[in-house]
Amino acid sequence: MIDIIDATKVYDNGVKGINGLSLFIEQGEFVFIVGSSGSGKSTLVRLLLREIEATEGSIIVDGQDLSALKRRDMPYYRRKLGVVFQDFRLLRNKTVFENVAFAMQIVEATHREIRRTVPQVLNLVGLSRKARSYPDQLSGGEQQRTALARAIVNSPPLLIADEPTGNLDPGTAWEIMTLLEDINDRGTTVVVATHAKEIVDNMQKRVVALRNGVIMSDEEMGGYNDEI
Amino acid sequence: MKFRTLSYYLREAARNLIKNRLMSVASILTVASCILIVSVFYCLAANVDFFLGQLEESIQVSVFLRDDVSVEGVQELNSRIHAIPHVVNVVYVSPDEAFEDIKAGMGNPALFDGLSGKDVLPRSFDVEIDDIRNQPDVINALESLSADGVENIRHSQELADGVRVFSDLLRVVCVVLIIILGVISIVIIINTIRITVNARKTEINIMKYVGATDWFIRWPFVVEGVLIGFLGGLIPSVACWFLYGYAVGAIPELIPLISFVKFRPGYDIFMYLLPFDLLLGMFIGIIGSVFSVRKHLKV
Ligand SMILES: Nc1ncnc2c1ncn2[C@@H]1O[C@H](COP(=O)(O)OP(=O)(O)OP(=O)(O)O)[C@@H](O)[C@H]1O
Ligand SMILES: [Mg+2]
Repeated sequence: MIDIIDATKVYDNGVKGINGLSLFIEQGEFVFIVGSSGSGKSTLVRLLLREIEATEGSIIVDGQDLSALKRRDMPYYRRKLGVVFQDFRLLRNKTVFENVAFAMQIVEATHREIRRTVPQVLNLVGLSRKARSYPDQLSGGEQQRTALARAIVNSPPLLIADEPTGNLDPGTAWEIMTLLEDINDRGTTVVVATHAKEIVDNMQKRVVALRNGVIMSDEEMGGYNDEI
Repeated sequence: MKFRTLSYYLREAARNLIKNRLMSVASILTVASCILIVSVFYCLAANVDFFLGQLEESIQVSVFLRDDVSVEGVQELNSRIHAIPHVVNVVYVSPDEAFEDIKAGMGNPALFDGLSGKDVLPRSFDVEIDDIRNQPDVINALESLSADGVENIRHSQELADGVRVFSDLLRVVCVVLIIILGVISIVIIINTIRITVNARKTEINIMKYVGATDWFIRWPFVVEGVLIGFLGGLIPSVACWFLYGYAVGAIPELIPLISFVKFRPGYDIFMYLLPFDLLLGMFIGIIGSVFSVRKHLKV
């Protein structure tokens, strides 16, 4: 699903966000990307979203070589990805329902499809009763559930999350991670960059640890290594 | 574009206009003010132009005939003058008619009792020319007819030149002013709309992450710009219509000295001004929103 070969990202100021990193992720995997602050997790995520471009090396996602992606094809590439951020990034003037429906309007889904699918997805993330609320009226956990619902409503093959639980208390964080696991169980490849040591330790997934833009360890059923 | 997508754009635009109503009203008023200035100026210019047109029409060339020209000769001359390029109309004025005109213009017609036109006045043609600029050419052509019985040509070259220079100047000033005001309003509008767009920067950003195409993001803003521009063009047109009606009634009363001036009829002005204002407004609105959104689309 993801094939990163010798990728390096040099920022304008000369800092290397990631440095000669290679990583292969199989379809259907659940992978944690961990590492201390500044280790390059977000850089990796932004590269996958094609928000930034690799300075060197190649990144291939779902068969698409990102360096060959034309500007006008970017929206269509991004529709294959579900994205979740630490700060939720919901449209504040739209209700929960509309935020989720928005992702479907973009792909020109019919009203019928929207009316059928959105409640299902909201049900999946446990937000059915908040469909008419605006983001400002929701707790952090509920906002992140909304973002999750939006990310998966078009059934993308790949879900990428950058610190999805960064703003949430441990209990809520667990609920969100469990949801991510559910989504993974339904076949979606999930990549989560996170700091949440406890969760990573408990979930027994593949863990890729970064430091200074380089992979330090890559373990199946790994834990959050304190030395990283 | 699918119909539901179109309806999405319209709903989004309407909704944003209402959500940011303060900004929307500010934008509409900004466009409206600029267009109002253009409109008022247009009304003025249209009337000066109208007045000049009247003046031009009144500047006729009178061609007086020798007494020995026969009736056939008059007819012959009539058609030859007609054939001169730029001559629009030729009217034969019999001495009696000319005399009646003079009498009517005098304070005391009784003075002329007992006299008939033939005794005092020659026969003449009033020659109307399409454009005052062509008067010299026509005069030349008329002068070459002197062998056929033209005795005398009366015209006012200075007045003609004055009117011509003035109306040329007016047209240039008009175009320049409309361009300047148009550019100023576009700049103001881009800035006004930019503020609303900046407020929605994160929103645009999110849309891009979810995979919206540039046009999907842009269209609601364009529709918004069109609506703002439409209202911004409609308001000054309507305001101008009422102002104009009022001014046409009030000015002659206020300044009796110029009460002889005829105003261009309202419909004659607004037939052009209304569509012009609406199109200008929508153009400004579209340019404004497209420019403002552009910056944020590069994510
Ligand atoms: N836009 C940028 N311009 C310059 N340098 C940057 C930029 N973004 C990140 N960096 C640098 O790249 C390195 C990796 O940053 P990155 O954001 O990927 O770290 P991170 O692992 O996500 O950290 P955190 O856990 O704090 O989110 C850091 O040294 C950072 O200072
Ligand atoms: Mg980060």
